[in-house]
Order: sequence, then structure tokens, then C-alpha cells
Amino acid sequence: MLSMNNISRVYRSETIQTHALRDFNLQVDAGEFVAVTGPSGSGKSTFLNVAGLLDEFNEGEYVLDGTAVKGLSDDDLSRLRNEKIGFIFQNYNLIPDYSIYDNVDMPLRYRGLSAKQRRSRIEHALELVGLASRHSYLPSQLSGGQQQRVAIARALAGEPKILLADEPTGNLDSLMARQIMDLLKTINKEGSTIIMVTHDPDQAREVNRNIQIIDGQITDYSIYAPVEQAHIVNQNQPVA
Amino acid sequence: MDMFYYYVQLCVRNFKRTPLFFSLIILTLSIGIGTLLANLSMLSLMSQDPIPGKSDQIFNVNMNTYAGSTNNFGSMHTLRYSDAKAILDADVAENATMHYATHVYSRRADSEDLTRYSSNTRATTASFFDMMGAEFAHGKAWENEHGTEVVIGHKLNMTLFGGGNSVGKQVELQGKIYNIVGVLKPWHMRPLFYHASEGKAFDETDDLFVPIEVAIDNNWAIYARALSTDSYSVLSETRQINAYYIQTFVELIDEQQRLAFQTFIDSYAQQQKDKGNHRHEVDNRLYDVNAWLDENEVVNKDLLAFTFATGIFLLVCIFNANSLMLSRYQAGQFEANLRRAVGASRKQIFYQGVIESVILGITCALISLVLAISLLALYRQLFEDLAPVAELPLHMIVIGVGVALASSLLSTIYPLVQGARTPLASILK
Repeated sequence: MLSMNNISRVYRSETIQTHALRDFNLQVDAGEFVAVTGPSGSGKSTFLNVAGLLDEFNEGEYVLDGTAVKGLSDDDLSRLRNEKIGFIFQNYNLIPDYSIYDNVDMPLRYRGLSAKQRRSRIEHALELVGLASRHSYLPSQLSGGQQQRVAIARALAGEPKILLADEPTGNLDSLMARQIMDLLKTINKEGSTIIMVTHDPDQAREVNRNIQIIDGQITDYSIYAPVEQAHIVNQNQPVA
Repeated sequence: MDMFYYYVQLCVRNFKRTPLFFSLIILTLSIGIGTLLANLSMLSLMSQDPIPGKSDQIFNVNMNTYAGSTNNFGSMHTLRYSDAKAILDADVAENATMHYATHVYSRRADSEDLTRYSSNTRATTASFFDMMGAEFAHGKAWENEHGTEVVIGHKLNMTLFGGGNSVGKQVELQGKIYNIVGVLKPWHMRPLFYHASEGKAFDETDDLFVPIEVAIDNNWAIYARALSTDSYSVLSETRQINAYYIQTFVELIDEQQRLAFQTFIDSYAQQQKDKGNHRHEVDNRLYDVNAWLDENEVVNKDLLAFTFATGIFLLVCIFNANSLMLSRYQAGQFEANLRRAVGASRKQIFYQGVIESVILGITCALISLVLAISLLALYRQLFEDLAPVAELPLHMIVIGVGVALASSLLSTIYPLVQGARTPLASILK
């Protein structure tokens, strides 16, 4: 599903070069639920941005669902994002004056689907997250947990190959965080591939696999649940 | 097409989201465009070619045959009858006409109603109509320069006879009966180059056209600048004396003819000087139509300067709108980046902005047109001189829409380009 080989991402200013990712290698297979942990500034978000085609990389090879990403035009990258990736952000990133329905509709607008197709997908996605009856609400009329559910519905409506979640429970209290984790696990069980950045070690332990990033490299991995197809390639993993 | 409708929907949402902001932008641009449009419209009407295709072949004849001892005027556009007649009789030009402005009261001869209508009248020759491009709806010009045949304009024909073919009907002018031999089609000439002097360049074409010989014989008064070094009691005496009141136009179809005509009038003026009919250096000038309009400063210089200032004002408005749009796009960067994150390309975000800009431009255009029309109405009230040209011609409406769209696009393109360059990952968390 996702294959990164020797990926490097360097940010350059006039005097400083910062290696946000260096010789980064990772393979994620379809159906996996991978947690990404690591201290602040370790490169987790950079990894997620590169994986989500929101940011470029300088070196290496990245193949997403069979498509080599390097050198693709902005149009092609946008199409890939639209068709294959669903984003779940820590801050939900809903448009405040759009209804729940219109927020979920947004990625579908760029897919070229008919109004009928869009409506069917939106209703289905909102049913999955338990908000079908509130489609006309504004985000401000919902709780934080419900807003994150809307964001998940928006990510699911496009029927993506992979969901990328950046600390999806970071702004929620423990009860709501629990609900969101349960929802993500349910979605994963139904076949979706999920990569989730989190600071919470307990959440990391709940998923199939946890990788830890420090200084732009994977330094540790743990498999918490037997997943047949899961494996990690990390040539730079330090020898214990 | 679906995406186009979506972009329009988004634009409407954006307008509703920040109505004050968009009102400010629209008002800023509309005031700038409306003011410029109003002034450009007047300039356009003032500077347009009144007789396209012939304007470089028709010349106003200026001569220095002043008989007085001092001539502070130089070459004059008003000629003596004898000089003008000599030009017409010489037959050097392809076509030639002379005229003076007069005024009579007219009524239809068979009317029981004794009401007489004030009629601006041109005392001229039959050659006038063809040279000036006046088209006949009925009949033709008179054949006898000393007869009682006249031509009436469309407006007077409507007033006296309710329109229709009035050839053969009679009008009473200053107590005498004249036969109508021609009725003109509606005729609008702006500027009125055949009488561009004395601030008459934006008068309407005349109501009535009569043979100049008849007007002189009947002592119909001169309604224009006139100068005489000799005294006279009736106008017919001006045929022999030094009275300068007749304007003369000639049609010269090429350079060769122009040179031949120039040689002729120079020679004629020299002969007149030799005979003692004037005492100044020969100084004869030919002005083609546009040069003649320039010579008479038909385009108001104050208006020209004001229009230039309003152009600068519009640039300031665009700059202000640009700054406002830039801050708006920066504020809206989150939504643009979110859209790109979920699948919109840079191009799509750019098109969305362009559609918004076009809608903004059309809105500005509509408001600008209303403002321009209101401003022109105000000009008509406040400035009598500008009243005849305080109109919004059709081509200026098209230009106004174009300027509004261009202004709107200019205001948004830079902010759009700047917005598209923002790194996608930098805003979303």
C-alpha cells in the first residue's frame, strides 16, 4: 500500500539545513493500523505530510498504491490525494460556516461525482460515524468528539485507500478520545489502512504496529497484534 | 460545468461570509471605474470623428483678407461673401460650400394655428448636404440658389407635419412662403464640425436649411461671430463690403488637389491685396476636420486633465482593492489549503479565485454604470458647457465592463498567485 525507501526531507534556510527525514524506510500493507510515535520535532508530522503528498521529499522513492510519486505534477498529486488518501487532522479542520453535509461533500466535489453519487456517499459516511441525523448542523453546534467524527466522515466519504490521522484525539478529553479510537479501530477492521501519529503510548499499543521516529529516522518498532502482512524494513535501525 | 457552478456557489458563500469586506472592495472599485467612465464618455464624444472616412478630405478655409489696419486675429475662419463666392465659383476643389448660422420662426403654411416654431437655420448652398453627409429621407437639395426651395430636418418635419414625406408642402418663414424640396433623415453630428467655433461644437444639427442667397436677400440675421470694417444696413450689402461672417468648407480628395487649392487661394489673396482689398500678408490655412476641431479646442482641456486624474484615482482604487484582497486571501489561506489537501489542484483553486474575481468585476461594472450615469446627470445639471456630451454611449458601456473586469482581475491575480505558492503543509494541523 505504502512504500518509502531512503526518503530524505531537508529544509534549507540561508545558514541551516535541517534533516526532517533521513534515509527513511517504511512499508505499510493494506489493512494495517500503524501508530507513529516520537518526541516533538522528531519528524512525525513531516513523515505524515510526505506520506499524504502535502509536502515534497528531496531524495528516495515513494510508491503509494502502486504509483511512484516522485516527479508527478500538481494535478496528478491532487488527484492522488483526492482518490487514495483521507486526512484526519488534530484540529478537525472543518469549515465553520459550512454544514456538516457540505464539509463532508468538499473532497467529493473535486472527484467529478454526480450530485446523487455524492449524496449517497455522504449519507453513508455520516451513518458510519453516527451523525446522519445532524447533517445540517454547523460544526460549532457539535462537541469536539463529534467534530472529529465529521472529519473522519469527510475522510471516509472519498473511499480512500489509506487514512492518515495526525493526533486525531489530541484535542479531546479521554472519553471522547476513547470513542474516536474505537471508531478508527472499527474502520480498520472493515479493511481501511490507517497511519496515525500519536503522543499517547496507550493508543499506540492498541494498534497492529507502532513505529517510533527520532531525528527523522525510525528507531524502534513494535508489533502489538498479529498482523500477517505487516513488516518493517529499516536499514538504519540501531543495533541493540 | 459542474465545477463552474460550484465555484459560483463558493463565491456567493464568500460574499455572504464577509459582506462588509466585499462591499468595501466593490465600492472602492466602482467609484474609481464609475468616475473614470463618466469622464471618458464625455471625452470620447468630444474627440470622436464626426464624419469618418471623409474627415481628412474636408477642409475649413481660413484666410487673412482682413481689410482693417490692424489684424489681431491672424488667418480668420469667417470670410467675406466675395472671397467665399470666389472659392465656390473657381471650381478648384472637388466640392465646396459656404454657410452662416441664422434663425427664423416657422409654421406650416396651411395651418390655421398661428404658432410659429423657433428654428435654427443654416443658410448655405445645395452642395452642403453631400459634403456633410446629410442623408435625405425624402426629396433632395434645392436646385435654384435664388429660389424659394428649402430643406427641413427630421425634428422640424415632426413638429410641423408629424413626420412623413413633406416634400411639396409649404412653410411660412418670417412671413414668406417656401416650398419644401427635401426632408432629412434624423441627423446627429457630434462634434458639429461645420460650426465648431463659438462653443457651438455640440449643438444639434439645424432644423432648417435655406439657400444662402435667399437668406442674405431676406436679411436673415447672422447668429455667429461676425466682423465688418464697413457699415451696412441690410445683409445684402455685405456681398460687396468687408463683412466677415461666412464659413467655407472645401472637399479635396488628394494631396495634389489640396496643393492646387492652396495655390489658388494664395494667388487669389495676393491679387486681392494687390487690388487694395486687404493689407496684410497672405496667410491662408486649410484645416481638415479633426485639425479644425483641435484648433477650436473642442476637447475640453480641463476635462482632459480631470480624466487623467480619475485614471490615477482608479489605479489607487485598484491598489487598495489589491491590498484588501491580499489580506483576505491570507485570512482565507486555511480553506484554500484544506481544499488542496482533500484534492483540489492549484489550478482549481486559482480558477475558483478567477471566477470570484469575474463575478466581483461584473458586480462592479453594474454599479459603475449606475454611478457613471448618475454622475453624467449631475454634470448636465452643474455644467452647461458639458451638458451636450454628458451621455454614456454604447461603446463606453462595453469599455466600462472591460475596465471593471480588468480592475477586478488586477486586484485579485497577485493575491491568488501568492496564495497558490503557500506550502500546503504549513497551515494544516
